[in-house]
Amino acid sequence: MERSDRKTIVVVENLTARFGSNTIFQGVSFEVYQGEIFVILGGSGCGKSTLMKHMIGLYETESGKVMIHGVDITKADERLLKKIRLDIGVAFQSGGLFGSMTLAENVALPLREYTGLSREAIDLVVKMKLGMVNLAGYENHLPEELSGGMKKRAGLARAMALDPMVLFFDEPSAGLDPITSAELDSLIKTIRAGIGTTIVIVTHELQSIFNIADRIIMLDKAAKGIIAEGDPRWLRDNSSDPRVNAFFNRKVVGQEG
Amino acid sequence: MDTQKTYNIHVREEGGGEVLLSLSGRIEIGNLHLFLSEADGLIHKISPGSLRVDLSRVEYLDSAGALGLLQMEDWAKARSISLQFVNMTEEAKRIMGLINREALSMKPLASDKKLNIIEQIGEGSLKMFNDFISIMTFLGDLLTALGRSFFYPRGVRWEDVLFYLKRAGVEGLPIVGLISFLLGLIIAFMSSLQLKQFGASIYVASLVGVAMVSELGPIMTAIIVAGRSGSAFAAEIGTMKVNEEVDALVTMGFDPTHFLAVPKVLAAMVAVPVLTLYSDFFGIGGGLVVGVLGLDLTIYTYVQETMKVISVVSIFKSLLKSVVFAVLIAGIGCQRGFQVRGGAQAVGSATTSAVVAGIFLVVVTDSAFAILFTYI
Repeated sequence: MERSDRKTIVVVENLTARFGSNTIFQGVSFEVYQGEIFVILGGSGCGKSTLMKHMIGLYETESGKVMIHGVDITKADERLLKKIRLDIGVAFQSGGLFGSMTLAENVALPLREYTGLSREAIDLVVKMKLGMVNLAGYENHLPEELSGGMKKRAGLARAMALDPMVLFFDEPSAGLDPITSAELDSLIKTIRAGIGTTIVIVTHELQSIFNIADRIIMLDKAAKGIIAEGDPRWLRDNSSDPRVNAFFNRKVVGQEG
Repeated sequence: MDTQKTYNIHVREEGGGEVLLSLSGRIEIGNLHLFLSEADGLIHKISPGSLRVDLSRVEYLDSAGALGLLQMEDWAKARSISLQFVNMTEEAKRIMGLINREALSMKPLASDKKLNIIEQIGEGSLKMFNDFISIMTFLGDLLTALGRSFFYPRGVRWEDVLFYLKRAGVEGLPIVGLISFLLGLIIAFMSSLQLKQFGASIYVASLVGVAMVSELGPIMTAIIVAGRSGSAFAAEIGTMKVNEEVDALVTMGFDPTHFLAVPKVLAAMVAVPVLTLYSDFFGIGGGLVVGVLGLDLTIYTYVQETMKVISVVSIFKSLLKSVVFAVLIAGIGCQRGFQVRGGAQAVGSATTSAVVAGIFLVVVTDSAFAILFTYI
């Protein structure tokens, strides 16, 4: 395929995650290319959220490498890690917004901290970012006054505040109605089309996967690793692996025993 | 991120009032404010008839940079200068298309207007009134639930009562003991300095005894319990409220007051009087140390003197007070917990409020008891 000429931006090599003696996954390797929407999927408990938390440096890795933009974050010191963190944005499952701050203050926080922008310029950027996620006018609202879908979008606006190279999004469709979920999907696509951000998403929402993903990896609890990689639409129609097939076609695995 | 200027604006007059601005370099979030002020200044200074902005040499444009360009266009429009972007890359077009221009000028839906003094007084009074109502409602609920527990003791979650008895009582013993001991020591020491002058050192014993048993024992214990357990109750119930655990209880047909508050209040009603007895005991012990080591009294005399002033009635009064304090502290702790709405911050303020209101109520009630006991 055209992979060879595309630039990789995140590289995971031989990553193993363990909680105590419980191995979540081992020997996981894959690459994320610049500008693609990459989905990590799998059934409940397969470690997809754990994998994402390793990729953003929240968890310490047992062994293996996670390279973001050429820097191995598993070995980077605090200072380098902080620099890399400015290049990534993370949108959390339920927004991760600070409850005591208004939306504008939430989005302005990274701008205040990491740019030398004047107050007026920050206000302008905040308005733009909120407008980008269709939350124009909600500057002075507190997170508790918003619905679940709005919180996710506000979290997205905050994650996008510094125009990161890579955006990580944990479960964008979880707990949303189909319409809101579809809106969020199209928002993600618009952002990628506009800014060209690489987006890594953790989800198990089938429709959303077929709608937005360029490429996926599928984790499996029993296999403790990746069981499929590639275009989800192709995998749905052509995969011979019963587990992959079952997932994409919503069947129960191994009913016969 | 640095705030260095990483872009350049080159101005060329093209005659006929037309000006060409050639932008180059990186227009990005780090220098948006520089770009904005420079662009504003240029438009202001040159004031051309028409303006063409050449973007062919722009290396990097992020969404904030695109915002800067749009802002520039708006300023030009406001001064009726026709502005045209030329040599715009596909990427720049896409990123500018992402910005919703209406959003930039939209008024916030909720105002962040500060209240004036009269409105503040009004808000404050309303809040106090509502607070009073909700405390009274909760008190009614609590007393009903307690009354029911009295008649149907099998409905009470006794394992929870034991758990909180350990938390509020047993685990509180060391700190209550230590503080009371030091308190007794201090009172004895300070009063001995005065009483010595009159050769009345022997009265230190009765002074410490009366002070500890009738006032300081119950009050100090109540304050410590408010700080240790009242706050814990508020935080626990508040967090349960945030996690919708309280709602879950209601939907399963449980009464949250009965399920959550009653065990805590019952445990406190047992723990606080016992702690108060300990407090009295340790306080007198502290006085004893000063009496024996500093005032050359024998242990026997000191105890004898103390026994003279402490009657069974006074101890009973002390215990009665502490039971009431226990209900107040545990009750207000639970009530503040149930009031929590929102997130982490609300839990924090409920905890603070539980301690402050708890101590306040204890002191007010203690004054009422002082008057009551004097005239009855």
